[in-house]
Amino acid sequence: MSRLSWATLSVGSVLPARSFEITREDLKRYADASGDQNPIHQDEAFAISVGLPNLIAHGMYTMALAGKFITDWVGDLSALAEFGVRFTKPVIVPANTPAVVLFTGTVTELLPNNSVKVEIQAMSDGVKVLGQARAVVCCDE
Amino acid sequence: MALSTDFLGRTYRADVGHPVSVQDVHAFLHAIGEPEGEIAPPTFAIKLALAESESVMKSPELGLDWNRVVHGDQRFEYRRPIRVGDVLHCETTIDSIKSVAGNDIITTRCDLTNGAELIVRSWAVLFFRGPEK
Repeated sequence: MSRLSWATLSVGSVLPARSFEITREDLKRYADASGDQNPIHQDEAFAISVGLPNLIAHGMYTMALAGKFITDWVGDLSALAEFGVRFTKPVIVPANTPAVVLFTGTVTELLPNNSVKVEIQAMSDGVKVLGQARAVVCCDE
Repeated sequence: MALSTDFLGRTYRADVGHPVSVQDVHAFLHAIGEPEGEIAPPTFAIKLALAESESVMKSPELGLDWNRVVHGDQRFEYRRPIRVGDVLHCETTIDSIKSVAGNDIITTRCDLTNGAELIVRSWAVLFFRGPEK
């Protein structure tokens, strides 16, 4: 698969901003696919009973979308060498309207072997939901 | 009660290998809006890594309450992507144990291997909330 060309990138190159919608149906599908059936991601009454403001998305689902944001940008699902995030705040998913997560990102370092380090931001409803979200991405020459 | 630091560095190897099926990969791809393919997306490794961490944390000797866990950080290092047909073994190591204000903060490392080949190494920081005062 063809990837973004390393030679076209520099420190400060921007990953075009992109937003993803998350519905409760998405969370059910992710729960089944990942095996994480924690009721805080599927049962609003349960989520509220344990002190959450509402039903929340799996942190790993937000991380998966962050991964897609980066791999779509570089053009290859298998282009990541490293990928890490901190889950700073939950993404709240209301009953009738999808949650929206907005991703932005920047190249922060050029590395050997046609690789770059990127740092991304993820915001939902005005709140920063990921911290220290970074990846090492392998590009083409 | 805080978890004893005696568990630091301890490694747990699951006896059973997990074959990566086309159904599992497609379900994960579908759930995150990717087209079907034979290569698993970057966070697919969590399916096994977190399940293995859960079984270690819940084991009688550690006895942690998985219902009180909050996932703090997650990090992956990839040697190559996971593919349909891999048979993954998971080795879980307790990399760090801290106790802050009655909460246990535990970092688990999970090495996913296919035969002798290391494929993905991952770290999860897990916060176990202490009992309500």
